[in-house]
Amino acid sequence: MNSVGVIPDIPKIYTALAEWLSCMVIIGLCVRKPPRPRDVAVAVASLAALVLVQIGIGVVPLALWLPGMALALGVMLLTIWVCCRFTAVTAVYWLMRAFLLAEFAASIEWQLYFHMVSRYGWSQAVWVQALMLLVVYGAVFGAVVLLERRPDLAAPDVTGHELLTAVIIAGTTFALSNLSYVSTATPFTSTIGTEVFNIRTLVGFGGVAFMYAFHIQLCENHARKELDSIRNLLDMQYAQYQQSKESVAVINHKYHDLKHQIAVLRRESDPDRRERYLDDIEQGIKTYEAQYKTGNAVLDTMLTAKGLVCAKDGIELTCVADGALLARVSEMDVCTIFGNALDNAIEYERRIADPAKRLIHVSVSEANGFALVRVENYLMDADAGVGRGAGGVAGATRALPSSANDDLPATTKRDKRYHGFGLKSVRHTVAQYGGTLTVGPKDHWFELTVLLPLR
Amino acid sequence: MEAVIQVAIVEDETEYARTLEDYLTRYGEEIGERFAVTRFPDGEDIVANYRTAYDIILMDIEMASMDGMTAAERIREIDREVVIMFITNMAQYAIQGYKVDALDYVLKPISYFAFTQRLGRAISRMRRREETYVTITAKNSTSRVPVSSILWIESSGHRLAYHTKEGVFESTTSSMKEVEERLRDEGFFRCNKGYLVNLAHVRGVEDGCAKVGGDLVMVSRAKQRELLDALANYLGAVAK
Repeated sequence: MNSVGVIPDIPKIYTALAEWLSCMVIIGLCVRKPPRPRDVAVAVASLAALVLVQIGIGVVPLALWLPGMALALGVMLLTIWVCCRFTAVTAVYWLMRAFLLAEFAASIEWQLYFHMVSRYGWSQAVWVQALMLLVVYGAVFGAVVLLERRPDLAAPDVTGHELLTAVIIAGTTFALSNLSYVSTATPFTSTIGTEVFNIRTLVGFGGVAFMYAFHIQLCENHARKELDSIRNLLDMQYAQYQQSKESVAVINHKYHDLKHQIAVLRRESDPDRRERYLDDIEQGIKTYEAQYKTGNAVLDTMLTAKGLVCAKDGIELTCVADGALLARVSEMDVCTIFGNALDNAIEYERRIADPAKRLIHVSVSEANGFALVRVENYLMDADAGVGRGAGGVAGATRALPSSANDDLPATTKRDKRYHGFGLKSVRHTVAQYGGTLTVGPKDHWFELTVLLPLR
Repeated sequence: MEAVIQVAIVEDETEYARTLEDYLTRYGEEIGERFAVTRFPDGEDIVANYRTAYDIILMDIEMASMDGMTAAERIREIDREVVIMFITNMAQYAIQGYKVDALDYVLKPISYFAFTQRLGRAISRMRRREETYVTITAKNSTSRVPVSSILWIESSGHRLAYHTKEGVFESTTSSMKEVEERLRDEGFFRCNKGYLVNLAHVRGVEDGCAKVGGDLVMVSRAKQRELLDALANYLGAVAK
């Protein structure tokens, strides 16, 4: 049996048992379903493998201790991975937790047992050791189960970044707690056996506690993110509902107008005036002929919906678009790009006092092997830097994105009027296709340009 | 004052044609430009014996014997440069304007304000595309090269190499800095210490290179995003 100075160290089979139990507890917490027969087989095989590896570690020279530990970790990882069907990153995250837990459980059990033997002269009989094992492992793993069985602490999909934090915690803890076994010549290690146990147990406990705290935070972050995305979805659905309600109202309104106009027309006998009425009617319904056929169904729907909003607000929306160029952009992303761009433009235009100046122009065309999307809207004098001093010009240039960094137009109160909040998400979306978004005022227009490689 | 801007109005309804002419006169006075207007009552009339004399064509879509879209397609076969702008009450047809590089249109009944806004943009784009030349001088030769035919310019030592559609021209008299300054407003971008590319010929940007003409030009890491942004601005400004 290995020993620290004169004191015997943890029997390898105890370590193996702790590692195995740790895996089982974590699998139980993550899966929360009765095990399938295959899982049971995996568990049994895993126990056998861990015992074999640990016995091996006890036999081989110290130099092979680390490779041996790596092998044990490999068995644990495989057990968790196979039973929980995690992604690789998530499986490694749980491995870190399981590993620290096992190290701590084995360490505290042996320390307590050794304390009892040396201080109170307990018997070293096998049944005493077994009882101690049962009580301490039971207490440690039982506490973990009690603390973590809350459903909101169940397995989230871990990101690479989060895994890194877990690896750092586990790595540091393991290195510190085992330093004394590798070398006694450092300022942080001890040659006295009981001290070695103390360091190992306390550092191990610290590691488990840190990891637990980190896990809680991680779960909270994931829950918040999920909640946010659900809320976004609901917001979007509500906005859509509002929009269709408004559209229906607009059409109803026009229908009534038209009925009256037809009645007037019926009574009119003068052909000239009749003609003029007909012109009026024609003009009145001009904006409602929402027949956008661009070759991209999502874009068509988007333009029709926004076109109706424009019609309601007296905004003239003109559009030249080759929707086929957007074939490789997903439906959701077409919505993001055009929805945000048009919403911003509409939001700005409806504030313009003179209806003749409420203009939005959209174009989607091919240029130099790119899809070039432009959404332009007319700017009021004040925002176009006309009739103002240097302040106006400065204001206009500030709205130009600085290409050196990722900043979108500064959200000063004045700028907000034509930028809204959606540009960040447009930029993000466009970047996924290797494209770029530029925005800024030009002459009397605010221009939003999206460039997407066609490939 | 700039040169007279040649405008063709293709419109079967006299009333609309007259409105357009009035608007043009009024707008010309406002901005200090002169428009010379030629009228055609049908698409067929402008296509027959078409000559590349116009800067801007204002085209109705719905016409008796040849519709505006067909006429525009026929004109494009001959004239890549002229700005075509549809004047229509058929927005659903104008949406296909990209087929003939007509990215602007004005809805009937024509509002003076909307019309002049679109026309103003068309004029500025038209001016942008007017050809300019650079003179390249080497030890014993001088060449005059249209800016539009330059693909990219490479600097090595004290020499500049102009890679153009017509071949490579060497210059020994000017520095990269001077050339960059000279071409500042012509849509060029310095994408690396030694390379200046003509955005008009950039066909793609990937893997740290810009596809210019048939060549791959190295783009420094820091400039990749900037290049795409510059390209977006450039293409946005020259699109018809």
